[in-house]
Amino acid sequence: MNFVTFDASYVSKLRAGDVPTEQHFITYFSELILLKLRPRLRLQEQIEDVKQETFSRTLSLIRSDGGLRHAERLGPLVNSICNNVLMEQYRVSGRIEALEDETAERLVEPRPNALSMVISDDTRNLVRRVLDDLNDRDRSLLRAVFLEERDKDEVCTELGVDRDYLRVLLHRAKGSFRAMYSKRVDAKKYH
Amino acid sequence: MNHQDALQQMAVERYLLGELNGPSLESFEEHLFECPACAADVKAGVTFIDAARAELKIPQRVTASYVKRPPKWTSWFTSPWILGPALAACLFLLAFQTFVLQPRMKLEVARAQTPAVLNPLVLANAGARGDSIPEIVAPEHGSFVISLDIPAATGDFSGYLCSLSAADGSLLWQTTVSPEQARDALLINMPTDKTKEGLNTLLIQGLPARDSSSGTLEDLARYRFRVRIQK
Repeated sequence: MNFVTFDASYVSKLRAGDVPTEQHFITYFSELILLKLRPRLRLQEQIEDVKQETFSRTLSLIRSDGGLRHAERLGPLVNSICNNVLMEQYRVSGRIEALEDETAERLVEPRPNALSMVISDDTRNLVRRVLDDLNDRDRSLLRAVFLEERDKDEVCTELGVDRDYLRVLLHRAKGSFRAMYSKRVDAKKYH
Repeated sequence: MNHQDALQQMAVERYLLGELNGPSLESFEEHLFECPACAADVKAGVTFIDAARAELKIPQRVTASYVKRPPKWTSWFTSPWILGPALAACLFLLAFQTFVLQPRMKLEVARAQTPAVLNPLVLANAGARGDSIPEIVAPEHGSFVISLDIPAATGDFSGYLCSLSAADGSLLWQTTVSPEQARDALLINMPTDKTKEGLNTLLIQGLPARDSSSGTLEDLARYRFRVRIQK
């Protein structure tokens, strides 16, 4: 979880075609674009096309005469260009659907995707430990929501909790996972 | 949306749960692309959910712990291989105590508490050569009483040693008697199991005083009697 700062120096390196910076840019935003697109596009090829087109247009804009005036707006620029490319993709594929009407309901779709492919055994072990620390009710809640994809309101009612509880449960589980992950990464650094 | 808004609204969790749509989704995604903290949080959340989904597919995950923890050092004690025989041994011990030891102890206590008239074996005038050898009928698990006199000694003794021997000369029992006790007729409660059926000899010896020049025991009397054990 490396935090980066998109400042003038970063943008000017991108403009100059600095290879490490460009690689970082591609890697960092690839993950975000995948997260954004996977509930919206069914085919992996479509996701890949939109992603490539987004990078191509963003880098062209940055390297154009006008360039990017506000470096801190690099992220929103990528998002904006991605939205435009996605709209074009919808038109091409005949699925005319306004982006603002799109919901992220399918974010948790069960099919394998590019991001889930990179989950290592190490990560699964950490997640296993987080799940082991939960009580049966919380595990059942996560199972019903993420694995069985049942209606969240219905599941919450069944288990006697509300939607806020579900959010907090996810927040805590995610927090535990991040803490363990960071600890593991630090341990690897020092060994 | 700024980062503070995102935190307050739990926007990351709502995004992961698919609860954002329309303008709120658009607003958060715009923030997500410019905020490395939220981006890292969402990536961690998606990774967690994907891995959790795989883990939750395992049936026992819902109710049971999957990680095998190292056994405690005391776990051998709860092993069926130890616990079974230990339980059987306890039951055997309990049965032995209940059906064997306790009845036997009750019987012995009852015997001990039963009043009985003691007919002591009087050796006071026995032991002289040519005298008949007295006989005592002794209960097998009980005792009998011997009455005897310590002969008036000529020497100065610090005490007296009474030694009981079997017919073959083997020593069966021994005790010491102080001069004060020896003044009157001496009653010795003799456990039957300390004697041997048949001829027994009780030897009385004087223990030399500390300042005595002689360091040897002096034979004072030798009493013989027969024991017949009543079974």
